[in-house]
Amino acid sequence: MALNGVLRTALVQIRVLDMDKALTHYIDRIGLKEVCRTSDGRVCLKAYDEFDHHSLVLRKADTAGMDFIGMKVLDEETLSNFEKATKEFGLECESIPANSDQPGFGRRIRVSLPSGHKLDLFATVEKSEHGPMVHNPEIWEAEPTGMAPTCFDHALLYGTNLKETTKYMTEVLGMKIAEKIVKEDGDNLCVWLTASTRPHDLAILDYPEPGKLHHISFHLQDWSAIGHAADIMARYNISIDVGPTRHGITRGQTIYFFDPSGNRDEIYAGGYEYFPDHPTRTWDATETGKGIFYYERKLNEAFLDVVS
Amino acid sequence: MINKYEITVLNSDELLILGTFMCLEDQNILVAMEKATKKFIKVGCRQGGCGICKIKVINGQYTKREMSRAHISKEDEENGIVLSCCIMPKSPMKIRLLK
Repeated sequence: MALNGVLRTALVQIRVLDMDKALTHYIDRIGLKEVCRTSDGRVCLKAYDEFDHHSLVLRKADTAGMDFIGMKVLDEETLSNFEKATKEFGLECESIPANSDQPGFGRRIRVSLPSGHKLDLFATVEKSEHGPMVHNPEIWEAEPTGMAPTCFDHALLYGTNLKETTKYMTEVLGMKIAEKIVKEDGDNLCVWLTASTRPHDLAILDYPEPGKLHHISFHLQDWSAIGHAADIMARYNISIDVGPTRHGITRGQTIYFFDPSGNRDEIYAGGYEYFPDHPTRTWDATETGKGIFYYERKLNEAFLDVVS
Repeated sequence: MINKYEITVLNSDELLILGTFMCLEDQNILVAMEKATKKFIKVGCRQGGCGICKIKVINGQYTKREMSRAHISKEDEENGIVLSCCIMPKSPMKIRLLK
């Protein structure tokens, strides 16, 4: 098996202002499944085609935003190697015991990224009872509901020190830069990082404030699924940011919309396959509009300003 | 019968009336502004999370929903500094933009 090191972005915990409204949004509208509730009132959710225990956690708070994002790595040995290499790189690194705040999750290493975000790395996760079938498997055990996302896909983070963060993600975690936007001074404005054959598992934009969330993204089957999701958004007056449209970067088809606490969600389909021998695709900052919103060919006002 | 109220928007030093629009009492004033195709206030998430549509209420009664404390402190809220996506009018209102 050639895929090793980081496998994918597999866990994210976000803050919501109103849990009931958040559950209606993420379960009834998007179509995630509630897996369990923690003793402190957080709710763990997953998409139907994910094997692991859960991938999204909602926490009631008085601000919106992201608590941390998590990546699954190949095995415990890889995790220990990453822990050592992270410390050598000079980033703060905390060890979180198995089955503490995340039910079903093994030991996690929490890295404080220079961007101001917390990145959790883990290797061991219990399989969900509600995962895909593995013996004479049907395409799904029960038909997907709502927008029918197959899995959590990626996130776009806004934060400080992009250069140092990118150095860590590529040199220590071995991720590749599939695409980037380069500013006139030669520094990157944004990088699309991949650990897999997806065109991105995590994107990070250089921003004056640390630790901000631009969006979390769920994978849909195809363009027609995006159309069905748009129908749901219109029917239930979900706050849409932009779309349906396509990204020039990754070529993915997309809608950006907001949850009832103002966290931006994305549904995403398509996108090319990436392999580690592919060169990085580079966009000039002057072409950012087309890179982000291919059909509109310009950014909307909210893209650079509106974060949680 | 759902009541409808006039919302008057002033610039940040309250010297200039930018315009007015009507808002239903069960509607937030940001979305009412968008429906009226006006662009006085910047539109972001419309859900109380991003803080971009912050305004000051000069006068008028309103109800409100949760707003992120990252953008609106308790003190702000008591002084009528609110997110326009989170307030619904109960009377005609005058609001102003913030600098």
